[in-house]
Amino acid sequence: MDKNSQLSAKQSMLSLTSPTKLHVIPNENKITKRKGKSTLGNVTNTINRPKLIAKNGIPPLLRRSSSFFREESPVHEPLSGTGYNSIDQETNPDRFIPQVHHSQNTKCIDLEEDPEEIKPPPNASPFKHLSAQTKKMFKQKVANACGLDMNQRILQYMPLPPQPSLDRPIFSIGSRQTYKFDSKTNALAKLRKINTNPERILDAPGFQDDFYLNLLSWSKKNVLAIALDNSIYLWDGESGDVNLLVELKATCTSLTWSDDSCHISIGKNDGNVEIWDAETMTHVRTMRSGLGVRIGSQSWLDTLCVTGSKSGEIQINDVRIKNHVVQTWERHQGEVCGLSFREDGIQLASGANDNTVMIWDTRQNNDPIWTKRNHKAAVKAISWHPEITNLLATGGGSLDKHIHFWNTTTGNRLGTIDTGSQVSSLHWGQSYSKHSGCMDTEIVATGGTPNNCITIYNYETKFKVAEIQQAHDSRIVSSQLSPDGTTIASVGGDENLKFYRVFEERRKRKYLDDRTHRYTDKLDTKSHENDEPQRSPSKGTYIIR
Amino acid sequence: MDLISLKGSTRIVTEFFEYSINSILYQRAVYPAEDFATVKKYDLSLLKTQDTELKQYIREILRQVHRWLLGGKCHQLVLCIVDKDDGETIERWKFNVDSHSNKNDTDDDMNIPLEETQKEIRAVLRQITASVTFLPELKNEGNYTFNVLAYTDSNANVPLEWTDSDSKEIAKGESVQFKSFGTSAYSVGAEVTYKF
Repeated sequence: MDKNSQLSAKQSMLSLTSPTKLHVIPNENKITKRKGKSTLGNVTNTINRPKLIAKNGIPPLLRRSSSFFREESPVHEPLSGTGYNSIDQETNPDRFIPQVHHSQNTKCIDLEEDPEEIKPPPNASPFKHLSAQTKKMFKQKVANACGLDMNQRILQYMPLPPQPSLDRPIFSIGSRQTYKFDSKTNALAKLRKINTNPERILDAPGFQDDFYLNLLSWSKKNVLAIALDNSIYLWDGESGDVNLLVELKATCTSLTWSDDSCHISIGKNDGNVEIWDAETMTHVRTMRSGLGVRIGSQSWLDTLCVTGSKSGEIQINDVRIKNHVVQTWERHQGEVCGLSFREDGIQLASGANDNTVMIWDTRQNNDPIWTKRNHKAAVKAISWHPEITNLLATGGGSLDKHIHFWNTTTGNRLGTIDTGSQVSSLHWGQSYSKHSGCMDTEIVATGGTPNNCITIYNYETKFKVAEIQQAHDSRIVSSQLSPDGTTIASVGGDENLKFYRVFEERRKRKYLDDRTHRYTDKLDTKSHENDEPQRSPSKGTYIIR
Repeated sequence: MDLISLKGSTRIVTEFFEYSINSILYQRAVYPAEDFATVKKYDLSLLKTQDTELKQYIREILRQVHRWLLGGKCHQLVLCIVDKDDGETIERWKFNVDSHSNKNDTDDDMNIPLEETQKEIRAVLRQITASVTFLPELKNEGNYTFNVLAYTDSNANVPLEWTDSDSKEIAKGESVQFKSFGTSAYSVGAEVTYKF
């Protein structure tokens, strides 16, 4: 009586929760009779069940009605029938594992032991139970077919490993501790306020919106040269006067002031470079590269003018001699769009459309010391730090958007900034930080889409400290820093030349000159050094210095 | 298993992975030599990358592996050197991790002193370095990259960065077994398979 009443209570509860699940089973079996019967009938049925199975070997009606499983729930005694897994029954009384001919029972047990496996809750519908079971068996079968172990996963770390710079160096200096320039790092990087309005806007009609060209140059004597279509204009920073230097027959593709700020070299579409005297406004000479392709970048070192061509050659021209091509480097595979001599002239950095940065030793022939292939787009922006001689910053084009910092002595990458836009130019600068009480090293980058902004980063922390959004209406193609290092002149596809004040004046760092025992200002000597007559034009003097 | 010894052991194993991955990447020139600097470790001069990006990448991998190891969920780590052009695995460096706690053997001599472990690790790392002599030359220098696989239990927690993969076995490859080392909680074996 006791047992019966307990069971009946349970049974009635079940039928309450899912009365509709009692399906009509169109079969000749005894179970069919149960459908309308009272709970008592079920009790008798449970006792009958083992017999039933023993008779057929496999449970009947397995495929016909899932309600069968539900009604199994009150069975608590383990069933020894072949279709039943006794372990399963103990842990999960309402679960049924049908016999599968091809899979071993042991495997099934393994699955059951898996604690992470999501089991349907006990009161879920039988369909859910069946589908969970089927899914598991399916997985098991697939795993077996592939010869895999179900309990093991092979996982791969998906993010791509960083890009290596491929080429090996010609010689290895070995590892060396990087020299830290300023030990007082600013822990709290603060946003800096800069005037987001341009100090001056000049119209630049006919400016070529071509990323690979360098059509802007600011001399140390504060004269800004710009090429507008075929004409070269000079804007005097002191007086604000604009003069037309020359109207060329071919399109101008690059222009650069020489170190003495008196001469200007103009690279042209046809591969020739013209040198003009800016003071007398006269043509001095024409150098023919003999390549027949445009000269997109140039850099001066005293009397040497280095030109980079569209076909990837870098030519070193000595402007004094008749056969001006002293050396030709043919390592770049794409148009050379960035060229810059280090201040002392020992190294030259070049960036090209083959996405590489090469650092050359000017005392060696033929091969670069380092080839860096970390950029994923053309490298136009190249800037040497004015005081730390072996620190170079390079910026990549619209697919790359990164600035990389290099130690050009050891070849190490010192840091990376993701700018989020094309980097068309880079300039080093400084600002006074109240927090650390010294000048912070900063770098300004000009960009393209989406914001066409001029952005200033702190070099130590690599954080963005200031930004001028929408500095131009279109992408910024080139920019130059004024000789005093405070103002950036940028020109973009919107044919405007805008002047923004982004840095503070370079603080005069005092250096004690041993021989004369007087303080000299390094920056002053730099700007006047071209007037010093004792400076020999050969490269050797630079190395000693 | 004592929790402290388990944590310490896991750290030793993870650290060993870090140095072996760095060594392999340097020895097989997957990354340029100038990115690496010598460091003293296990009384050896080992090369470790100085490139922040790569350092971070390896750190991210090992942080997860460390977690799995602590949970006893990871039993193999594989470093594949892959040709960039066709994605073919050229070399497969396998590190088996056997956890003693799994085997339920109650041997008391599992408490291996640290010096012993270090000595064994030194031997393994020397073998990895020396393996350059017999491994075939990687002809297309600079054209290789690497992948890391982890063999885990099916119930291990998997972060988003990790996905299921095939085993990237090298068909008809030659295998060379290295020495193994043991800590109080694990024993780690190494093996390289390469295309012959």
